[in-house]
Amino acid sequence: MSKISPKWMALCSAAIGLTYAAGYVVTEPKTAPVSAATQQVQLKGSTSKNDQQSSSSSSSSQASQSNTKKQANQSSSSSQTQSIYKDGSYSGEGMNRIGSVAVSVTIQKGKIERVQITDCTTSYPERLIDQLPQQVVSRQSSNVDNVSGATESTDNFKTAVMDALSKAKA
Amino acid sequence: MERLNSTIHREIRNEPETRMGRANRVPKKQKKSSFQKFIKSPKGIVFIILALLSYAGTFYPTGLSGLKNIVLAMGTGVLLDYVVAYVMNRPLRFSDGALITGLIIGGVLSPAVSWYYVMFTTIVALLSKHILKDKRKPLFNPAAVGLFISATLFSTGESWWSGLSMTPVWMTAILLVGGFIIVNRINKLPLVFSFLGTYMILFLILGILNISGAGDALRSPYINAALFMSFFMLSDPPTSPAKYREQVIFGFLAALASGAAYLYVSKLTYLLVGLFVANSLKALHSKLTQRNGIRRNALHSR
Repeated sequence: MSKISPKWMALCSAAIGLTYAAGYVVTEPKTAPVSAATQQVQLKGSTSKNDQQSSSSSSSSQASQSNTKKQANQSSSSSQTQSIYKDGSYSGEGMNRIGSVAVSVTIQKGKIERVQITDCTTSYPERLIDQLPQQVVSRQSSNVDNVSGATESTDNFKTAVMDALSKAKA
Repeated sequence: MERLNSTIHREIRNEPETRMGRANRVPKKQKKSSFQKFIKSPKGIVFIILALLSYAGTFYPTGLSGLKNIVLAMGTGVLLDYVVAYVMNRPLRFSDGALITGLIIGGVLSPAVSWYYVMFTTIVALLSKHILKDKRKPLFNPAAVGLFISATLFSTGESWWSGLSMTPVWMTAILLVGGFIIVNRINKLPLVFSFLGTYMILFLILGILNISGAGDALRSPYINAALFMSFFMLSDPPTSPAKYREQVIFGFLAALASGAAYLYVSKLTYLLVGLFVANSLKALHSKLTQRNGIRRNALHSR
């Protein structure tokens, strides 16, 4: 059988490329604000964490690194508990190159009462991060343990919880 | 005969060869080793390209651990094919098909997947090749069967890291070049063009209609998975049609089924579902064509 001619190859490749570009542009406005929002939330989260770590290290400079981390966790959870969340149910989404995770965070009497993964479209199964919602409730913080082998899914989950909590603060 | 005899005599006497003799001389065949033959065959080219992609795919933090999955899948595959050949009293040969299936399975499964899931997936894939077949051709792409069953039963993670889904975006160019080389070599460009064209148009329409998640399908890792699947699994010669017209229909149906599966079934296995639908329709079509051929022959013989 004769092979497809180079002209046809170029034409088909160009048509597919253009359709892809059009699809990418059309779907871009939907994803851009979410990613921007999550980046902002991540930035906020990281700066507050740094602040807490620096304050704890200044108060006890001779403490070991593990102790410092523990203190940081405790202080972050206490600060988040002290901060006033409005009661209600809030949704958040975390997205990166492996997909997205959406969560629903329920606040009652200013505390995180329930966290639920509502959608998981990552390339990895949801069961890998199934234990994380419980950690958020028990720690009253989005600062959960990293799941080995599902680091990017964990990041998505953290971002989604922070996104929801930022809405609850507003 | 006389000419042959005179040539032989001339050679015995060490006399110079005539011009006609030189023209009629059959060139001596150079013996090629089986490895050289394999490397130059389409399977060999696929093997080299997949190996290069797997190497390129390791350029991310936990990438190297994916290589152990590939080695394990290839080892399991070759061993299983040996066992099947022994049990079925077939000649014992090194299974190059098992190597490629192993490369695909190891490259699709997440590096975090446990070794026993990798082995399970490979065993299911190769058993499907030996069981689900029409004459000597498998009905479904073996790697796809293993990956689908494994993902459905155990939710095994699929990152399609050999499709360079975890590496920087510019590295997708390597996948495109590698894919183009093999698809052009096996003459399946219309199939791949049809699949990718339909896939892009479908998700563009879904994006215009504001369907949630449509944009994800056009971004990494989904787009890398779609490219990898179309280059190395959809175009698998035994499970895809040869004629151009049929290739176009096959690619179109596979993309439509994938799109439907993306929306309504699972975002983990949507490409595999599309591939199964197209494989099934191809098998059905070839069965019907065979039956019609037999009927026509019977009518002609009367």
